[in-house]
Amino acid sequence: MKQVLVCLLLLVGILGLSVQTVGITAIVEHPALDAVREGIIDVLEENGFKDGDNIVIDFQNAQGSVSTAVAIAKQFISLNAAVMVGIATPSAQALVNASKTIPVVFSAVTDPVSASLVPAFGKNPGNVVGISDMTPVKTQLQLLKLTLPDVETVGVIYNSGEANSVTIREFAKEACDALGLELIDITGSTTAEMVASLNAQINDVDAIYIGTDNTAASSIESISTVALREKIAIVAADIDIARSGGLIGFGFNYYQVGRATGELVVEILKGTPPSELETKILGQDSLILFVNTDIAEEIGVEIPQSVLDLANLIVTDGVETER
Amino acid sequence: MAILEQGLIIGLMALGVYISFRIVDLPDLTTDGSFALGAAVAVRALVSGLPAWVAIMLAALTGAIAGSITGTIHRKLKINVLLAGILVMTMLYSVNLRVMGGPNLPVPRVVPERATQSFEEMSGGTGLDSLFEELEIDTEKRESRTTVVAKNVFNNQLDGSDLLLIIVLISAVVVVLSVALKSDPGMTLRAFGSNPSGVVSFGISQNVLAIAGLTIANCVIGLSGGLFALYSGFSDATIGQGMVVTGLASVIMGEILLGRVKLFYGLLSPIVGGVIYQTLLSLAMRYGYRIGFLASDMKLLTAVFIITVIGLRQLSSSGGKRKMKQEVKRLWSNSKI
Repeated sequence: MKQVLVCLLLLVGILGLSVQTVGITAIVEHPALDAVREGIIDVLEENGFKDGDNIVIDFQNAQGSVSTAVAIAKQFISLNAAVMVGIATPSAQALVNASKTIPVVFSAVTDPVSASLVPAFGKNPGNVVGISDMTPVKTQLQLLKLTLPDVETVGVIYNSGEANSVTIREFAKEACDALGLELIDITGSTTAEMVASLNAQINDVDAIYIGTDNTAASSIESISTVALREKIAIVAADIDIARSGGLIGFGFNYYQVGRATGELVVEILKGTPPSELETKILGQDSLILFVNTDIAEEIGVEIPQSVLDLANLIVTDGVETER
Repeated sequence: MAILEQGLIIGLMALGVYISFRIVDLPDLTTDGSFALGAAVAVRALVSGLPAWVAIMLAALTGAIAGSITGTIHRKLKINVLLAGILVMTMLYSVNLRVMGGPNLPVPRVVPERATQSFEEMSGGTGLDSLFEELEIDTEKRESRTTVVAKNVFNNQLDGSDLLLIIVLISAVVVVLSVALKSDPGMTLRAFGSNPSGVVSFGISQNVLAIAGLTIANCVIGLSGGLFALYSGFSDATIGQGMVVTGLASVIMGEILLGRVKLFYGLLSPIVGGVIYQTLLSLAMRYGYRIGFLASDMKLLTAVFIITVIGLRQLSSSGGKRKMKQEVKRLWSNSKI
């Protein structure tokens, strides 16, 4: 009896070892980050890597805690994962620091260079590669200026505790200076603080710009209520944020970000070393332009026909149509 | 082994919590802030080119300063210690962002070849360029920053050298603390914790003792924060989140395992508790989903665990009191006869 048990255990062990593990970890649960994960898993499946069949996909969420993110990274190492995927900056940093040999693919990190994940975009030596979600800040502010030519001051809402948002704010400052706009920081480290500082500064701004900020994403309902009451337009870098009361949204489809990440994972599972893959941003095909004409009417703004012509998603009379 | 390493560092933080909550008996909530402060200072020091041991010492020092501020606010301005801790923790959030120069600061492991580029610089177009003929912006290229690749004390190779380093450091802290707490001033500090008004007869001011206790506690917490940041390879604005509860859970876990013991083992018990707590945490994350347990439930479970243990202790001790009361009553009635 004992021998049989030992044999069984050995068999399970050998089977367990022959299956590759893909460890995926994200810092928080969030519609955009969840879409990234779905994109990764879908691409893996399309390429014949199905969870439970020939690979094990181990997804762990750090629930916003950095110490949990570090624990998860160490756990993936002890499982001897074939590839580790880190979604958003702290999770990616935890993975990159935990191993210099196991391939690490990061995703949805705006500024992987400042986060010390890779020395530059493109091919890099080492075990790290990934997809950046650096959003076209300059273009978003140009859109704002084009649609709202009378605007003089732009309030940028972000959490100064989020690394991605601080980088975006720097680019926004640069673009505002070039466009002759005055930038006003509206910051808060929690949703409550953010709404309070918006209320305090709403009379000083002519328009609102929101980057890919997680805290702003969580408080967008309150933000848009305040903005609509004051008839102030919101231009957002995230389509989900724009959908909740924004005038214009121009940004990535996060599912596509996930798919691009998944392709890197597939390459690595097939044996390509990370040093031969490129760290990159997505191309313009993955960008979506969203326009809400209902909001335009409500706040008395006329959206130029040229912008409407290029829009991928238009909301009219409460119905969103894709083009 | 990785769990052991992390557990030991968290255990060191729990030791700080043990000092404030158990030895000087002041519920100090500065922890979340001073842990993050230690982390921020250590990485900032390393980035500025200071050697790692200086970075860790600075982390401990700044943690101590934070603790002394909480103590001073509490004793001199007569603000409740819980509130004083929360206030200092809140202040430290802003301080940490200043120290890090942003919300996240990595221990540089790669030298950036050039400064971060915007999407437009990298992609060569967003597909909307035709719209902006009159709004064209020419952003000049940013200067690349010079970054020194810092030498971290941890190599993350799981070859035992990290573990050894952590064990040596923790042993040093425990030995120093146990010697210090056995000295005369240390004895007074412990006496202060168990009977604050009793120490008046020793001729030492309660203010000094309370401030000293919180300073020592947060010094240890700052040290563990610094270690944790170097061990993780980065510091983040949110790195201290939930530390006080984790620390309490570790302290209680240690007390369950080792019981209330003599000073030296008493100092070791939160560290043992920290290791056990981290192990349970990772097991819960690893296998918990099979029973429908989510990582997000962990905070609820931790808090319920703490309440249950404290509650049970309370019930059993009040049970003891009741017995004593009955005993006294019996003696009283006997004496009447």
